[in-house]
Amino acid sequence: MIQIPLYVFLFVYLLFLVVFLIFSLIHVYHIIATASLTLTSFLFCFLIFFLTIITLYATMSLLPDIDWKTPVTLLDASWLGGLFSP
Amino acid sequence: MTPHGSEDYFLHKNMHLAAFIKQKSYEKILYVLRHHWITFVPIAVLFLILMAIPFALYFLVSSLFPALLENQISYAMLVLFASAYFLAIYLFFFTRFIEFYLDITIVTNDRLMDVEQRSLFSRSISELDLYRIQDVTSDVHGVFATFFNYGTVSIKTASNNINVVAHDIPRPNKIREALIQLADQDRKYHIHDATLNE
Repeated sequence: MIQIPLYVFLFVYLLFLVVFLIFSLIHVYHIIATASLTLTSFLFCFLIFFLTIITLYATMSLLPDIDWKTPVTLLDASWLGGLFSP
Repeated sequence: MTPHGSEDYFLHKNMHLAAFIKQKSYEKILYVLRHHWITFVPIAVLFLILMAIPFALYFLVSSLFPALLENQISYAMLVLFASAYFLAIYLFFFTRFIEFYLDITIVTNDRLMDVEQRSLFSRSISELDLYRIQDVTSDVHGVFATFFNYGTVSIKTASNNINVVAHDIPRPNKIREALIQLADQDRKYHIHDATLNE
């Protein structure tokens, strides 16, 4: 039986958040580097920032009582047991 | 986009643009051309559709497989996946906006600079002197382009292979006329250079 704790998925999510942050900062850098910081680009950046905050807040509020140490079974021998039996 | 437009007023007040093009002392920024906003509407619509998908799936799963939402493990994984999905859409939308908004054609009384944002890590900047311009073509093609008055302006030079194409810019005919006029004016200051190029 192969099991991993649930918090592994949380770490993967946090890793994705880091990638998201890096790319978002690159976008903002592009806007500044090409002198395109106008009202339009500012409002767009604000919209993305606002949506991100809402999404992160919703994610946090939907997962308050989760026991992150709960093991998640990835592979159980019993799942394969019945495959080759007649 | 004329220099009198509200957004351009904001841009002209912004000294970063002058620094970006290394504006000369006698140079004046006349036009800052970006894609027409209507060309971004399909991307915005796609964004709204992609945003609606998780909500539709939620109603589907809650009615067909309610056990998935009651189980702690599957519930946590679904929430994390949905959150990552939304963030990925925001990033996609942001990237497309960058590609859309950072395609700029800057026209001064001396030269034309074309900044093309091909992708996130690919940008090309081409520059040509106005007096080198030989041919300017504007192309308005399609129902939306005709209705919203946007199109492509192609600028060709005689002496070399530098040709600038500004896609989906507002009022292409007016820009074409202005460019021809500006090129004629600039040629007066570069009679010697223009003769050499011919």
